Amino acid sequence: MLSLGVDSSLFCRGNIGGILSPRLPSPKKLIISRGSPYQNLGAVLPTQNASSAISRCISTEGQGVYGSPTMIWPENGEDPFVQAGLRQESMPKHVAAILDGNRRWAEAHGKDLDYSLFCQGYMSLAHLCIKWGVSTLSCFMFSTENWKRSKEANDLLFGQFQKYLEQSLEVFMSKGIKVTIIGEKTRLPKDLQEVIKKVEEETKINSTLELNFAVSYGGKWDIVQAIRSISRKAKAGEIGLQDVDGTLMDQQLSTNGLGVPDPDMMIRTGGDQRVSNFLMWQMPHTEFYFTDVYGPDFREPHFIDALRRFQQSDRRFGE
Amino acid sequence: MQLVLLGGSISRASVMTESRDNENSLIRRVASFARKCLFGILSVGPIPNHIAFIMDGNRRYAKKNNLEEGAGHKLGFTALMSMLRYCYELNVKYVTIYAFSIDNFKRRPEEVQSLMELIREKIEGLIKEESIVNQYGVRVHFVGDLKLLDESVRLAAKRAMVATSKNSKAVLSICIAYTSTNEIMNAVKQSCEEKWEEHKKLGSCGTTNGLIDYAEKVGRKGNNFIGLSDIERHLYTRVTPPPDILVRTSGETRLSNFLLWQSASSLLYSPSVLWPEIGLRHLVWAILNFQRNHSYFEKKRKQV
Repeated sequence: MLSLGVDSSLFCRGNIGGILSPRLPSPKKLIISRGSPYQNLGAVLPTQNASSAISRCISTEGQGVYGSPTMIWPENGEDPFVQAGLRQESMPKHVAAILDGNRRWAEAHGKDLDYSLFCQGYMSLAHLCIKWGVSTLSCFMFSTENWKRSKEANDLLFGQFQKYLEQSLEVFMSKGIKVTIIGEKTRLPKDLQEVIKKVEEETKINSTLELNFAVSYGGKWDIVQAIRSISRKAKAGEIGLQDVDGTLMDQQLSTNGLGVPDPDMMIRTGGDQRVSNFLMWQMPHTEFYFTDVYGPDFREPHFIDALRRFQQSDRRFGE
Repeated sequence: MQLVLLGGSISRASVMTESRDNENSLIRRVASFARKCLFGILSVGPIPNHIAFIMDGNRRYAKKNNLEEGAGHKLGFTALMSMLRYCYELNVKYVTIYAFSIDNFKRRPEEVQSLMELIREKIEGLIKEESIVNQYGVRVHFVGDLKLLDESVRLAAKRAMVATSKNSKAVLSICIAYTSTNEIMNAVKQSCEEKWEEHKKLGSCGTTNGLIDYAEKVGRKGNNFIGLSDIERHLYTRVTPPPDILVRTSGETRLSNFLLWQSASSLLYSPSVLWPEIGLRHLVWAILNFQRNHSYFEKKRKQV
C-alpha cells in the first residue's frame, strides 16, 4: 500500500529543491471541496486507499517524467486520466496558484520561515502541470500589498527567489519551461532584476510549459499600468478614444505574452478564501479551488482533486 | 333553513380562517423574536458592512422541482426578499446583488424577455409604500450599463432610484446589465476623457509662468497621470465600499465577471444550496466564517 510521502513516485523524483521531504501532517482538514473523494474519509492525511488509487496512474520510477513533452502512461498501459477520474480533453489550459500558508506551516512545525519551500512548492506544481497537460501556470510570489512587510522579510524572499531561479535554470531548459515574470519589476532589487532578465531571455525558446511568476504584482496595478499605456498611445495619436475597448485592454496587460492569458482555474491553499488582488481582469470566469492544506503540504492528490473539481463545474459563461 | 345553515358554515369557516391567521401571525412574531435574539448574539462579533450575492441556481431549482420556466426566478425573488430582510435586521448597511449580467443577454430571447418583464414588475413593487425598501429605509441604486436595457425597465429603475433617494439607513445596489470588465472600461474611458479635458484646458490657458510651470508639471507626470483613485471614482459602484463577503449559491466558485475590482479582499463563500433554497442558516454561517477570519485577516492586513 502506497502512502503519501513514503512512496516517492507520488512526487517527481529527483525534483529540484528536494521535494522528498518527510511526511508532515497538515493540522487542518485535508480537502474541503465539494465532491472530493476525501471528504467523507475524514482523515487529516490522504488515506491509504486514496493514495493508492492515485498512485496506480503514476509511473513508479519517475521514468520519463522529465524531458518528455508528452503525457506519461503507466507501464501497465492504463490511462492515468481514467484512473484519476479526469477527462484529458477538458483539462484547464491555464492554472493560477497562490500557495499560501508558509508562515503558518513553519510555525506549526517549529521552523523558521523559509521561502525556498514556497519556491519549491511552485516548482513541483509546475511539474504536475507538465504531467497532466496544463500549458500555463501562474504563481503569485509577491503582491503589491506585500511591500508593507518588513524589509528583512522581503529581502529574505527576494534572496531565496533569486537563488531558486539561478539554481533552476538547468531544469527549466531540460523540461522545456518558459519562465516569465510579471509585475512592477523596477521596484525589485537590482540583482534580482538581472537574474530575471537572464532567465527570461534564456528560457524564451521553451514551449512545454509557461511558468509565469507574479512578483510585485497586483490586479489593480496591472489594470492601471495598462490604462497608462493606453493613455500614452492616445497622447501620441496612435489610437483614439473610440478604440479603447476590452481587446485593447487585453493587449496592454502584463499577461498579454501568454498563450492563454485568462486562468481557467485558480488554486489557493492555506484556507483563506480570497483572491487577494491577484489577476483581476483576467479572472472573470475562473473556477476557484480553495483548500485548508498549507502550501508546503500541497501534493499531487490535492492537485488531482482540484482538476476533478474543475471538470465537474458547469461553466456556462453567463448563458 | 338552508340559508341559515349556509350562513352558519360560512361564519364557521371565517372563524377557522381567522384563527389560522392568528396562529400564523403568532408563529411569525415568535420567529421574528427568535431571530432578533440570534442576531443580538451574532452582533457581539463584527458584522460585515457590505454583503454581495450572486443569485445562482434559479433555473436548476425549477428543473429539479419540475416547475415551469420562470418559476425558479419568481421563487428566487422571494428568497431575495427574505435575505434582504435578514441583512437589514442585522444592520448590514450595504447589500449588492447580481440580478442580470451582460453575458446573460446571450440566453434565449424568450428567457431574456421574461426575465426583463419579471425585473420590471419587481422594481415597480419596490417603489410601493409597504415594500421592504421603505420599511427599512433602503436607498436603491441600479448599477450597470442601463442603456442596454429596454426602455420600460430603464424608466422603472430611474423611478425607483428617485423614489428611494431620501432613504438613508441602508443601500441596495442592484447590478443589472452589468459586468465588471464593462464597468472598468467605462471608468477608464471616463477617466481618460476627464484627463484629456484637463490637459486641453491647460493647453489653452494663458501664458503666465505659473500656469506654464503647472502645465509642465502635469505634462511630466503626463505619462503616469491616471491613477487608482481616478478609476475608483468612475466605477458604477463608487457609492458602496468593497464587499466584506461575496456569496455565490449553487456551489460554483467563480465570480462570473461580478465585482472583480471590488472583491480583491472579499471573503468568498459558496454554499452548494440553490438560490431559491437559501435560508437564514446560510447567512448566519457566512457571518460566522467572516467573524472567524476577521481577526486573522485584520492581523494579516497589518502584517502584510
